[in-house]
Amino acid sequence: MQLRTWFMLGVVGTACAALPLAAEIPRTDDGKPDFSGTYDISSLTRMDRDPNLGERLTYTVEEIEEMKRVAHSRVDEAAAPSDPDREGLKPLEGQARDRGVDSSGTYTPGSHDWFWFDCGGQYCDYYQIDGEYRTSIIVDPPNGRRPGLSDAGRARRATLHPYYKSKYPGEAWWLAEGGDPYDNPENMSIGDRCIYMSLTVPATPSAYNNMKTIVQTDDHVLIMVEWMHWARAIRLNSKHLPEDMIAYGGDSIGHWEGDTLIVETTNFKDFMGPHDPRPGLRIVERFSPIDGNSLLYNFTVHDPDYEAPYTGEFPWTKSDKRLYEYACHEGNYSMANTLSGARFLEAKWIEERGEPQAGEAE
Amino acid sequence: MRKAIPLAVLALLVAACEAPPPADEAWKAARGPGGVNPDLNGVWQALNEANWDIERHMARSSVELRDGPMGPVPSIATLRMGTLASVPPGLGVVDGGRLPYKPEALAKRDENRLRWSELDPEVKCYLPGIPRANYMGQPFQIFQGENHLEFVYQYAGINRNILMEDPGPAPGDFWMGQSVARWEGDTLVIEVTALNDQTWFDRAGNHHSAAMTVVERFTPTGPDHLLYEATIDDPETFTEPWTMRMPLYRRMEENAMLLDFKCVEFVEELVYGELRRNPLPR
Repeated sequence: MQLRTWFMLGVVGTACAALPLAAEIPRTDDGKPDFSGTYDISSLTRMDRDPNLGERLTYTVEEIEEMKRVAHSRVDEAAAPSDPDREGLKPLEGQARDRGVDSSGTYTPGSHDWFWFDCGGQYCDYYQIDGEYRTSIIVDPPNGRRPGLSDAGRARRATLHPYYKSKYPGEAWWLAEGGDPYDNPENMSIGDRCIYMSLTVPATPSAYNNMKTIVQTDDHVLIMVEWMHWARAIRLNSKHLPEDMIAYGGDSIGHWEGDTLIVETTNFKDFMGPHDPRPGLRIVERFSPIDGNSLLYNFTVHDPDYEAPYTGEFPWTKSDKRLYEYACHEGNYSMANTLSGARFLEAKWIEERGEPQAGEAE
Repeated sequence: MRKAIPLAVLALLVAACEAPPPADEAWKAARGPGGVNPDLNGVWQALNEANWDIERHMARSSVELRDGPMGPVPSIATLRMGTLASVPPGLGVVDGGRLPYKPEALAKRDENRLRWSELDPEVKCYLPGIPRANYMGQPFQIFQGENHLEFVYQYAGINRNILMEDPGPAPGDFWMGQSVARWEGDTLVIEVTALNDQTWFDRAGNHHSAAMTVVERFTPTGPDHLLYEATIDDPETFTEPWTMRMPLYRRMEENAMLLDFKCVEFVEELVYGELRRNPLPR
């Protein structure tokens, strides 16, 4: 207890010493906060809170130290030189979607190794607001979790493509079980298709490419999104496009209320399933200055798929790292490999077991 | 009765005819954020035939030709497009009208042109590189803050980061290269390095190597015009550096803005169609 008090005093002392510089909020010619700069929003903080934490908003210092220790050891272990005599790949527990064993006992390669993943900030960090570590990005509902699906949301998901319940092929199981998970490029997610990433409005931390650059002009705020090279131009004091002009990232307009930039996005094209319009989906984001080095990002999602709106928040912290080109489609060998791999597995299945019987596959 | 024109006035008129007043004294660009540099903010677009062929050229019946009994005819790939695939004529945007190709590079250009539908990166919605992104027949937007500058192109939704401080050599090569900018008076000068060799200059097969560097110059010449100049240095492909130049026009519509042109999904049938479980006729 005493130790912790001393620690907290130390934190306060450090914060005060840094205050004069950090509190200086840069402003544009017209006096608005100037958010221009490059930000790294990577973090280990979860979107939805661990249900065991109930309505607890923050972690204790002891909890966060232990969580960071675990994350650091995982990253350090992955960064250590490999043993050239190591054994081949092994299945990992609890990651069935990425890694596993197919019916013939062959190990599957799994996902990227840890080198590729952003661990959060400089070194596996969690979001901190007002000096406290948050247990989730979602702050409303008070349990820190997105509300349940509405009837409409459940009905819509039932119509979505089986991609969202697909499993590692191993063999052409769909010939027996039905479904068309690998029939066409359009059956893959739009991320696998190199079209768009679903983590952009609202912006939430992702596995990698978490860099954003903001440029502010009199009539626009531009957010350059590194992942899938998306430039999100927010028109200030403008009107939304007609409702039949839809886009995966929607149509964003903004205005200032005091020092807060408020951005409303509508006109979404669904990034799941058949890419229909998403009428009723409206996202409101608020950008407020914290200090010269960070802003508070707050978002409320009004989504008819959920029983109620939900709100989340986390800081964007400036970084001296850079955005790099994300040329995904240009090197998307995976799409052709996935499709031709599926064709190979189908041919193998049919060769071994004959054509699927009526009622098995369509 | 006509009044006699005083000699002095006549002399002035003659002088004025011989030496038109320099444009830069007649007009000065409005200052942008920060009040120091000209304001380049806006939606801009080239209005020329450069993306068809940056060299001087007469109209051609197709962007991809094959031999016919009485001369070239449209290729099989472009045949059904009819006039839509024909090349509009242009006086070219290149100083001197022709590119100073080395002989082997010229042969490659001619081969590229015969295999346009197969090889032009634009056909597959690939990133177009610099300078081509600037004259693709779709608008691009410049976002200029006090200390930040970004270019966004409608084609493929390209975001191009313009670095105002030189970070040194890029760690790899890129479709859009690494852009480092500075102001020279009212001209924005962007040095583009680290370009790969996958992009073309146009639909006519004009190409370059990964040794290419590009120096771009954007100069306001009126409230709604920029002069765009690009000097290309690629000793592996050309015998000497060369320059292209063209005006860029401000999109004057009150609601001018970039819209979504995510062409990756447009080309999936072309690129992956044969790998469908049930391929469509091709």
